[in-house]
Amino acid sequence: MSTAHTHAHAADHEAHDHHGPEKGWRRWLFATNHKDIGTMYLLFSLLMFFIGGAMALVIRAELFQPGLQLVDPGFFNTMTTVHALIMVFGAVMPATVGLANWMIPIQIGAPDMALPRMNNFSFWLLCAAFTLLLLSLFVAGGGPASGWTLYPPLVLQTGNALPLAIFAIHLAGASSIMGAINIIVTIMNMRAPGMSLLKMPVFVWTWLITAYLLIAVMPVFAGAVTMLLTDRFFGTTFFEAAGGGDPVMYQHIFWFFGHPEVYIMILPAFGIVSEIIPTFSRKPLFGYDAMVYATAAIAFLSFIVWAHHMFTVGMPLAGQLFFMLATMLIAVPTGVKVFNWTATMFKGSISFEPPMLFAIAFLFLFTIGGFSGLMLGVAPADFQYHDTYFVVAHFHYVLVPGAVFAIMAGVYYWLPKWTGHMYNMKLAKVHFWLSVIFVNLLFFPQHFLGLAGMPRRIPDYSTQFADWNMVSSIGAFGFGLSQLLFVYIIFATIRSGAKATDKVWDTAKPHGLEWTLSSPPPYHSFEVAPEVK
Amino acid sequence: MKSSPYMDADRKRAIRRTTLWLVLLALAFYVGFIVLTISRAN
Repeated sequence: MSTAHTHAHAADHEAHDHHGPEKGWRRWLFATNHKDIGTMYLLFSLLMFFIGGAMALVIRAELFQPGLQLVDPGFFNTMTTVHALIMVFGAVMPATVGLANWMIPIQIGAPDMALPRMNNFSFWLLCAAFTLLLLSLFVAGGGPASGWTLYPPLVLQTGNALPLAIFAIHLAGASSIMGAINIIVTIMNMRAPGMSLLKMPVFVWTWLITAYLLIAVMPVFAGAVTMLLTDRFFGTTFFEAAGGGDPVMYQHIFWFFGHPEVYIMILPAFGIVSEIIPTFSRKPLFGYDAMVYATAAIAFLSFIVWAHHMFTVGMPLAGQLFFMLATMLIAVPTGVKVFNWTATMFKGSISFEPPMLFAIAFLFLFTIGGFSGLMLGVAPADFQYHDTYFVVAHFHYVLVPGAVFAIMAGVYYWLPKWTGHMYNMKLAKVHFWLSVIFVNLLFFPQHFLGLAGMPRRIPDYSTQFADWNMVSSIGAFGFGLSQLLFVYIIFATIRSGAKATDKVWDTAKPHGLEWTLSSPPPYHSFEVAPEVK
Repeated sequence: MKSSPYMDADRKRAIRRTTLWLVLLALAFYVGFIVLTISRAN
């Protein structure tokens, strides 16, 4: 019996060994393999970056000169709203989920994600969500136009696009929650023997904490938009003062979601940079434990700072002080991270391959976004900065040369592992320099505009703001066009290129289980659990 | 995945248990914040 069982098991294994991807469209539609789903997430996010980016270019084209030139103000509002929703939920988040799908199983020594069918479902749900959101642009009365924050009472007075946008947010939220559950379940249950929590790669750690943030706050946003929906269509008055509701309550709920959402986008970026800097500094990460605890501290603090987004609604002095001081406190664990990355590079044998260039740019430019965040967190100063272009400059510094540069760094770091081909280093460096120059041209002048008093979310402005707006728009078009090079590099690398070795970065010092697999890795990543010492 | 030596009965049970707890956590936040809003209405 035992022999038969062993034979059956062996045969099963043999069949398993020969099991590969399905052919044609079925491979993608019914994908359950973490690498296939990771690829689909990454390609989806790339598409969304270009759709959201095209909307940004409509905004910047309109703002190239004072006066109304290209679009009417209603459509301009739709562009600011949908650009933000697409970039947050359709581009940055799916890109980090794609990286998580690709890398977490192979970094923890697992064959796949723990819940592969749910993984497939959460990806296709995301596609449905964004199809719906994009279709909402074509309904009578125009697309959603109340800003991505969907504040009542304004949002309750907008057109027929609202229910479509809310349904899209529900679907995207459900997709994120399922993705987060899958990631936590995988990390908690599928690690290779010997890989204790404090031996996990920092990217895995940052995603574990991010996934908990997602599970805590996406349902809160879903609850808020559900209440908006019932206020609009079913006669409730959750957020209508006339019926006993409270519109400011919506802002509290929204930002209880919205602030951790910022960290949902940036913590995986921290993880990527923490993988890259040690490799190209040829040193272990300085202060691994401190990095992990700092990530957890940032996540905890992200839950108690939400009202710094709404100092100007009027709140008791004690409330202002609390939220201001809690916001200042976030600088401490963030500072730990920045200093640890710097200490990792200190006296390291540094080389400047494209992933490292993007990681170093991240370090400098994310810190600019962090500092302007501190300025905005000072309550009395925020009364001056609130709703100006200074805020726009701040969060774009955090999200573009912050999160997006880290994602690009991650793609350049792991692309040879995924495809088995090296990319053209020279072209990638050209892409880096074009991106870093134009991103600063695009966003740095917005600090000056904001400090001079230019309000955000307007299609027209006083002539005193003309010069810096023109510079910013030139930067926007330069940055947008530079990204075509990124797409070319990715697809050229998928099709051809010099063969990548298993270790890929042979002259550097890559660490972790992913470099023990072939490039590209086998269909089922680890058939036999690796032993981690 | 079915034939993977990773997926023994213990691991499957652990995966089910973790998943259930996380779904309950998400539901608690969803319902909790709607109840909170109702309780603060005048």
